[in-house]
Amino acid sequence: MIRRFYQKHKHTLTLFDGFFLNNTVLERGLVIAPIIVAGNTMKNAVMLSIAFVIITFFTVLVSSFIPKKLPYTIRAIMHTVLAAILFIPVSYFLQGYFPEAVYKAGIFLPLLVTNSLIVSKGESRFFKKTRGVMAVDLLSHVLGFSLVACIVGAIREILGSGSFWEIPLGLGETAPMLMFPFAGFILLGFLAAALQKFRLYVTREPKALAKEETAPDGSEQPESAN
Amino acid sequence: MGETIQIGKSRKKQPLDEASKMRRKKNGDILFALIPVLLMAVYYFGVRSLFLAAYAIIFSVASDYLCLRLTGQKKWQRYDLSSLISPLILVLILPASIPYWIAIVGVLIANLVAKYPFGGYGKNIFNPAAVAFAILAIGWPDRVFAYPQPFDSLGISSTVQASLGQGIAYRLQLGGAPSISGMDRLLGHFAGPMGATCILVLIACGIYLLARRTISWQIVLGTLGSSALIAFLFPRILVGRLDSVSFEMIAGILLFGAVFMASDPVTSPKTGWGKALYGVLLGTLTMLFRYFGKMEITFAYALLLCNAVAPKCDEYMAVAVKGVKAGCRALLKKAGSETSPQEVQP
Repeated sequence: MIRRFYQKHKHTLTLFDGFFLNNTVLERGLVIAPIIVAGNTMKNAVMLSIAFVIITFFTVLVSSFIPKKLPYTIRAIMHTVLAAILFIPVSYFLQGYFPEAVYKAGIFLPLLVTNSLIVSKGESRFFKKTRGVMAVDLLSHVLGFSLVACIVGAIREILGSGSFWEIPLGLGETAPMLMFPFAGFILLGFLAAALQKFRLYVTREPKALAKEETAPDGSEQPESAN
Repeated sequence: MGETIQIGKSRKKQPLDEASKMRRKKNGDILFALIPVLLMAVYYFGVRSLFLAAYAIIFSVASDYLCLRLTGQKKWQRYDLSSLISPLILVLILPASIPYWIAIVGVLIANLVAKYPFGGYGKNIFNPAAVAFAILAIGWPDRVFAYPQPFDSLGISSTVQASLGQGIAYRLQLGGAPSISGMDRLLGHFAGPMGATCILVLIACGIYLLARRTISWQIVLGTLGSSALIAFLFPRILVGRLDSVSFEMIAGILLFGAVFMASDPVTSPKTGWGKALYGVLLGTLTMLFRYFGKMEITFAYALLLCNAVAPKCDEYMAVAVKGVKAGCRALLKKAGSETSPQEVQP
């Protein structure tokens, strides 16, 4: 049913595919470091998401006005400088709301300034579109990052320390290893594999499916014909 | 229709190819050698260890089948017993008091993290049991490194009421010598991992596997020899060098790992010299981690590192052996050309 819905509304949905099917983290493998290292509680994940959404969205929007005549090196530097300027108010805002989480995230929060959506994807994907389409695409990309960060943060906090938003849930057994970075890698790998499976399922057209099932084994074809 | 029946018949009559034969011999031997170790565990720690093994095997086979179907295969390869061997190995290097669910998590990690993402049986880079043990040891160190005494009644419930103690490896780490008599050391009358304490049985299994050429003597000798040498030269305890060697040998899972885990044909080097280098590296790393690390059981971590460099062991040793041979030949030639004129003169 999901597949039929997707096939029907394919053209509308491809506009938002950065949110889920073409996810920044799970599908492309970009910006995974903050999620793996710092995204081990829900609070950290929300903080990272807010910082990422604000910094990336406005930076890419503004930097799309930078003229293309400048050489790439200078443009890339300007993008990061814009992001760094934007980071100052964002960091004050976050320190007010999540003082501990900002301390825990350490270097990975300032490092969002040089994330690959700003540095390379802006040039290779977003600036090629018209501004309206670009804004929608960009928004779905940054929200897709937030979605993954929150899922990973929630799973790791619930199973790793038995709490959610620092409220204990009263689980009997926990797996403290989920708080370590290596478990973040493994978890992200499984999520990426699941998304890949889902994407293949959804994007495959039913007719192609029927053809492929019979094609490899020649002996089965007469039976299906009968 | 007729064609399909013919295919089915001819498949049954097909003789075993070389790979299947090797698989049958090696996997069958290792599984056979694991049985006495498991029986010793049952003798020392009660029926609970049998239950642990049963749970582990059931979940391993189930998850294995699920992964096989997910990767598009219909059934197991011929004589692929790895879904029985790796859970048994994993369970035998855990303490008998481990809750069932931790063992099951370990088995799932072995299959889902270490085996199938790399392509399934025969393609895994790292030993699945070692990966699972390494992750469990980081995840629940207070459970994995707390051992019951032999002949304690553990019951078969998931949580164990008996008092748990530290293993030999922990005492060696603190610099104290455990007071265990020579015969008890051999028979396994001390707290430790479920299957890694019955030293005599392990030695017998090792000799059996060596005689059948299922495991290679280079790896076993390299591992045990290098670690014994380090223990002899730099003892951690003050009661004597030979005692140091014997305690380091029986501590942790060194002997069990050298026999059952290091020689895994999938993850170890292929050439003789490569195996020797691999074994020496494994023993040295294990001892170094023991001396300078915080972990109690270091063999699994050393094994994972060595698994990663196993193909390079083959390469480097091939180059080294070639170089030494060429050098010897050149020296002989030189010596021959120097001596031959003298011989001619008289």
